[in-house]
Amino acid sequence: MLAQLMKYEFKAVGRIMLPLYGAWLIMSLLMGLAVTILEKVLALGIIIGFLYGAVTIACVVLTIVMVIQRFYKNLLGSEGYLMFTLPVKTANHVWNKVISASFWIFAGVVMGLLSMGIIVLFTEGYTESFEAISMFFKIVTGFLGVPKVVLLIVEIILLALLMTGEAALKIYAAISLGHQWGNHRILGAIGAYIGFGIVEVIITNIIFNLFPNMEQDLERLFESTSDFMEMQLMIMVMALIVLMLGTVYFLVTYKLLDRRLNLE
Amino acid sequence: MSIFECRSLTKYYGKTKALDNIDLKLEAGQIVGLLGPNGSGKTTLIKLANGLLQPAGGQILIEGEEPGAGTKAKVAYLPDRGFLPEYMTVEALFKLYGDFFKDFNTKKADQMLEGLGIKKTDTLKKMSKGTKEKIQLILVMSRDAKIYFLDEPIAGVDPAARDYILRTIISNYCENSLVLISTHLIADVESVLDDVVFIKEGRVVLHKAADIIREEEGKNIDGLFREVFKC
Repeated sequence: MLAQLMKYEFKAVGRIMLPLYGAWLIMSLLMGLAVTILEKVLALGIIIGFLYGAVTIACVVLTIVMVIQRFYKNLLGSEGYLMFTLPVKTANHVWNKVISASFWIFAGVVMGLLSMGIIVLFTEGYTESFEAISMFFKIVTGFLGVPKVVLLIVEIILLALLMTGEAALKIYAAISLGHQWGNHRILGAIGAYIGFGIVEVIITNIIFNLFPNMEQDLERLFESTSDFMEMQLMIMVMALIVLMLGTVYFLVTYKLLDRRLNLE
Repeated sequence: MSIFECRSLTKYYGKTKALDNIDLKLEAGQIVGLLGPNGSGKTTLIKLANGLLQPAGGQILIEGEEPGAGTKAKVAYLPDRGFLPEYMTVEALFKLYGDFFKDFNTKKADQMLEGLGIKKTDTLKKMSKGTKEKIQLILVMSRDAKIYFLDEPIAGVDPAARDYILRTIISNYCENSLVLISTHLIADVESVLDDVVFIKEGRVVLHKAADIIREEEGKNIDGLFREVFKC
């Protein structure tokens, strides 16, 4: 059933985001042209630059809006009457939204890189730009060897996906908590989100107070190992923290939707 | 075991008691009218049965099971509002119901759609309120469900559409299932009801067979309703 949910979720978000991505790519091409050929027609260049900026901002803003709206409207609005009467376990609804949010944020980043790549292609010195990038990789692979670099890239992508998932879950948990608050649901959600941030800071402080030597210990540990191992450790620690936070926010969201759902 | 049962079911909205200690047993194979004025708790009861609200006390049971993924597979629900994504076409909605509900009968849905003059490629956004309600009804009644919860299916449509809706309900529900129709338009549904539940200020004040009411009280259900709920 999760696969079915994801199929419909992809269609619902895709019908908004995919055309926007198309527009983004076209504007990137025009922007590339404006940078080179149209250099002398300043007015047109400014207009294209403005439009490109507008599409870029629209993509960023709409991605965030989608993450929020697809949860708030689709699950807790009138469409919730459909979603929550499908024979689907509540946990699958939450997974569906998290996976979708991570996917679209990731897709947005890839599109952003692609857009930049297209514009760079039009500039005179594009070969230099690409040479600089390949040089960078050569130096890094020279230090670490290809397998380790590939491993690092994969790890960083996975960590980024975990972080987007956690970020989405934090928003979902805040919305679900705010939803308990009768007539001030949006206000409640914003309050809950700020509250989560405060609790995170307090807990971090408590942990640092419980282990006052942790910072020095970690530094010593990092110094005693190679740069590669240091990066591995850092990624692992970050992944662990994100995973723990994500689990907490997942459980908060799940329990509230499963046990305390009260659709208006 | 009754197909639908409420045990001391209670629900609050803030401090207001929406349902007050309701005990109710309904059997399969009949059409039951859940009748009461606006704000009497009809929608609350149906939403609780669908797991869209959580009770403050007591239990609500579908074939002995509390609302969850298991009961949702055998319950067909028509809410009292538009609940479908507006951008979807009729075709996509049929597909969606077919994907999620094993008991959805696409052939039946196609048959019901025939003669309505609705194109399957039309989105809900383009449709009038009455047409949208017909589409919602078709989706719900095309399921071979154990229970149909129909919340105000005829409110807000013209008399001709009312006839279409009631005809669709009677001719499509499975004979060994339970149909619960909530409404305050008694006269329109009176003729199709086997069983009647009056609900007033969150309490069940009467639960009887329609025939017995007519026999004992010597008046029709609409008449009795006007008497019980006299303002």
